[in-house]
Parts: sequence; structure tokens; C-alpha cells
Amino acid sequence: MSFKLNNNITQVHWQPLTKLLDPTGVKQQTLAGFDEEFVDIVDYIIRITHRIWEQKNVGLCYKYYSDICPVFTLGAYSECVEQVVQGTLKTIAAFPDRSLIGENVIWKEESDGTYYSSHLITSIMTNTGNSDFGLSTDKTGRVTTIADCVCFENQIVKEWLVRDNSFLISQLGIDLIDAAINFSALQPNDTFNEWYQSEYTRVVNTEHRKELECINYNWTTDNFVQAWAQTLFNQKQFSTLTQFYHVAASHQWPGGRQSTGLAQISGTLIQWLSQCPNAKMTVDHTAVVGFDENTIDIAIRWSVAGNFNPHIERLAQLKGQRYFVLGCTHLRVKNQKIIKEVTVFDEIALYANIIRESGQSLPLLAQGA
Amino acid sequence: MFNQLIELYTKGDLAQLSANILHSTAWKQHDFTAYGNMQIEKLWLKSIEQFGFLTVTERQEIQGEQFSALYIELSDQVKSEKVSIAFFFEHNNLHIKKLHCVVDTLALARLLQQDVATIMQALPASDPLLLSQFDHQLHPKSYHATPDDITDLPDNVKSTVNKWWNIWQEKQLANFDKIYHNNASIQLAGFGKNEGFNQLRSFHLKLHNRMNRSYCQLENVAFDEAKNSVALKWHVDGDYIDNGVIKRIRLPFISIITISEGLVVKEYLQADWLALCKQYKVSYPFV
Repeated sequence: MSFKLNNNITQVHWQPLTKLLDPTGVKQQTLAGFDEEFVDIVDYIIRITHRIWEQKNVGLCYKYYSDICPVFTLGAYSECVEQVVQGTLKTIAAFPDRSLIGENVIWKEESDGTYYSSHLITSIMTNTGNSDFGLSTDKTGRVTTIADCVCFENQIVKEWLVRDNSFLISQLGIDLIDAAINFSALQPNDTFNEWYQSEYTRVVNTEHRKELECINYNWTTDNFVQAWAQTLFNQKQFSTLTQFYHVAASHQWPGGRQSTGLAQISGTLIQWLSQCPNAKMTVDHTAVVGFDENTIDIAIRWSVAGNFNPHIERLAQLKGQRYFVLGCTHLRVKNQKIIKEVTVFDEIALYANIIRESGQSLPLLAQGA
Repeated sequence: MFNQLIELYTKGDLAQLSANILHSTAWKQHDFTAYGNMQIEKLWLKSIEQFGFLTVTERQEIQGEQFSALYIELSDQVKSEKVSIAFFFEHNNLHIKKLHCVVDTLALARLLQQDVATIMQALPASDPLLLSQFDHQLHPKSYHATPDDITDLPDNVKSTVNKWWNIWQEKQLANFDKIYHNNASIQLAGFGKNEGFNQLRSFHLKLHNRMNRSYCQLENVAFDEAKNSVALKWHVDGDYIDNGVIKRIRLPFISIITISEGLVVKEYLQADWLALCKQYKVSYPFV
């Protein structure tokens, strides 16, 4: 294992919330410009998230986000703290009991003095108000989110946010394609369109044929992640799953795709990639922390681009449209094999972007689809 | 933690067990995963309403290092009915991180003297899983988990447990003869207790024959060295043919087996049949 475990930084996994919210240890990282109360970057992320979301101190966004803070999602782009405050308030109004259960924070101290954090969150929330998904359903759902943030001097200065919205709406009783059609009617701003265009071009042009091996003598986290992306997603060599995954690895993907073991994981990846058979993947950021003596946690932010090959009849006329995904993955790797994977992206936004770009008008279920 | 789990159901002691629950604990029951105090407590209260304050008449603990399991049978002495519950959980001896609770809901229906439709109605909405299609064949070069891939087992146990898994994974029925004691006590959820493996073998055949492309996947194993007992969490995926309609389903199991001199002498096979029927809208009875 090419990583030294740092036992002194907060680890969320076994900590009760009361301890997480009241850390007693001494400061473990420099955290220049951060409030003195924070002992490390994990503590910072956990406590500010709790204060803003669970204690509903939405206005604290002004303190913990910089005035100019680009936030990238697959559905929209926002640039200033005012939009973060408004978005937070809207979500709380639609889901007033939303809890944000911190599952993990994987972090990295960057060379420019910033801290990168990847926060895996499970939320339980009841949809009692109208939302972008439609009218209130009064149903409770669970959703997984990964928020990747660049933190500098006590503030989040840049964020990539992905949420498994397709799993959430399936619990709320909302149809995935209906939700995507409704989302496609929202017009993103120019910055989003420019970002989407440039990201698509960058990813689709990536070199995907080069063979990357990751074997014992050259095993590093970076080699492993690059080989995982290249071999499985770019080259579609699924018999190599055994080089990357433990035989009983658990695998959570958006929309309720839950697999265990190589056969099921292989099926999930093949079925997903068949929607975009020429998919190219780039690894855009990685961070790694120790979990225990033999285990590490890796956070990956990635992109996939290609052309859409619909497997849903209602989307058949969209064949060939541009297909672009912003995704985040958390891997738990033990003895160089993945034992647990959580991958998150927003399938509603993915389909909404395809529908909007096509310029076609698709009927909702209620309109006879 | 075994006592805290038992006292939840026998005495309604929520406080004691709550101390073992984290903000991020996942509690799966009836194929619904509850997170956070609000959802987990609601599950507990519903269970206590249904089968609380009864007497424990059978109990088996599997104390593993990171994963443990518990099987209990709660009896109503007046009605002479009982219900069994199996738990498989990840813990650090202080807190539970992830727990899967499997209730024998057919026994619950008998205990409550309610029909299965009424019980199903009362179960929480299951997690809406999207099950992938995959190649279920055991190709010569493909690899599928066996118990000793997951946990270190001593040699005298490993051989028996691997043969036990071959019965399900490879459908190697001849292993029944090889690894079961003639008088093995076998409790099969929904079907009661039997001596010897005949009923279990018959169930195995019916289960696999009710599905096409069935595939057994091991999820986790807990081993209790002191008791020579193993708990296995696993599931079967397959195409269930229901009135001519093919439904992709996943059926979770917890198996707890006790081994003596290389033979299985006791086994609990726990499944929540009515949660399965509710989740995939398959007709009852399943087998």
C-alpha cells in the first residue's frame, strides 16, 4: 500500500455525531486562515455542513462560502454565494426535515495551500413542498450526495456537486423521464453551456487505447485509479474486474443499482456503458486517505463523454446526441482491491441535457407517452 | 450488543440500543434501509407493536471481530406461536455501523393471525433497486466468491463451509449427504423446523426451479471460533416467472450454521418472504 495512515485526522466512520460536533483533540493541520475552532479539514467540513443544513443556519453560507464560488453540477452552474443561499433555502423549503448524514470525508492538502475535500453524504428527507421535481409528494426518500470542495482560509471557493436524484425520485414515485423532460425546460446560463461544451470536447478527445497496468511492483493509488478508468471504462475489458475488485465487493451506482461481486458489477457497468458505447472517461481529481492499516479510501472526480445510445423506448429519437456525465466515486480499497464503491451522478440532469440539446419535445406520461 | 438487541424486542428498551447507533448507522429490515434516528426508531416501534414483549425461546450468537450475527426466536406462550429474527451487523464492539435484520414474516402472519396481504400492507416500502442483467454462468475462468475469500476460517471448518456454499452456488446437491449430520436441526423461515436435510434439499430444488438464471452471491461471513459457528449473508438473483411475466428479483438470506466434527449439526436459514413478495410484486407463495 502506497499510503501512510494518519491516525490524527478526524475519521467519520465510527464517530458518534456528538463527538464529531464537539472535537476535543488539538489542532492537527495548519489550516491557515481558518477559524481556530477547527482541528482539521474533516472537522471543518462536518461542522459547517451540520450548521448550515441540519441547524438550518442558511445564512452561514455567507461566512463559509466565498463571494465568488463557482459551483458545478450536471444540471446547472452557479457562481456566487447568493445563489448558494437561495438554492439551499429552496431545497429546505421543499424537504424541511432533510438530514445530512456525513458518511466520509476524503481530503487532500494541495500544493497551492488549499484543501480539497470530498464529502459523501446520505440524506433522508420528506418532500412536503413543491420542488424542481414537481408538486410535493409527501413521501420520504433517501439520497446519496458527494460534494467535492476546494477550501481556502475558512471558505469554500469552488465546488463540484453530484446527487443521485434518480434514486430519490424513484422513492417519491416520480418517473425518471418525466423528471428529465421537466428539467430540460430550465435554461442553464451561458457559463454552464460554455463549461459543458469545453468539458465534452476535452473528455471525448482523451487518449483511450494506451494500455495501463497496475501490478504489485508499480502499485500506487494514482496508477490504480488511472488503470481502473482506462481498462474498464475506456477499453471495456470486463474480465479484468478481478484486478480491481474483491470477489465480494459491494457496488452502489445511481438509480438503485446495487451489486455485490464481480458478475453483478460487470453487469451494471456493461448495461450502463451500453447507453454510450463510445464513452471516454477522464479522471479529473483524486484524493486518498488511510482508513485502517490495510485499507485506504480514494475519492475520484471523473467525467464521461460520448454519444447516446438509448435503451429506453421513450428516448429512442435521441440516439446519437452528446452524452456527458460529471461523476464522483468513493472507493474503499483493501490489500489493493476495491471492497466497496459508491458512485454518484445525476441521471435526471444527464437525460435533461440530452433532451434540451436535441431541441425535441417529448411527451410526459400524463400526455400519453 | 446481543443483549441490547434482545432487550429492544423483549422489554422495549430503546435507550440502551440507541446508545449503540450512530448518526450514520444503516438498519435494513424488510428490504428497506433506514438511516438516522427518525427512520430507525419507527422500524423498532412497528416491530415492538407486532412482536414485542414476547419470550426468547431460542437464541444463537455469532461473535465475530468486525461482523457478528444473532438469531432469536420469540414465543407467545398463550398462542403457541413464534417468530424468528436474524441480525447480521458490522460493529466495532461499541457501535453498529450497518445492520441487516431479517424477520420470518410468514411466522409473523401466523403469530398475529393475519393474512399475508395484511402483513405485506404493513411492511415499509422496499428500497427501489434496479437489478442489472449479468452473465450468471460459472465459466471456467470466471471467479465467484467463496466463504474463505471473505474471512479466515480454520481448516476443519473451511472445508465444510465451502462445501455448504457449493450446494447453493454450484447447486451441488450431493454435498447434502456429505456435510449434514443425519439428525441436523434445520429451521427454514416460513417452513418450520425439521430433523435432517430432506426438507432443505427439497426447498433448494423448488427455489432454483422457480427461477431461470438463478445466481447465488455471497456478501459477508462472520465466524465464531468458540462456538464453531458461521453466519453467512448472501442472496439469490434470478428471473422469476410469475403468471407468464418475467421479473428480475433478488432474495436475501442469512444462514447460521453450527459445525461439529466436520458436519453441520444445526442451521437456521432466514428469509423475509413477504418483503420479497411486496418488493417485486410477485404472488404468494413464492415456493
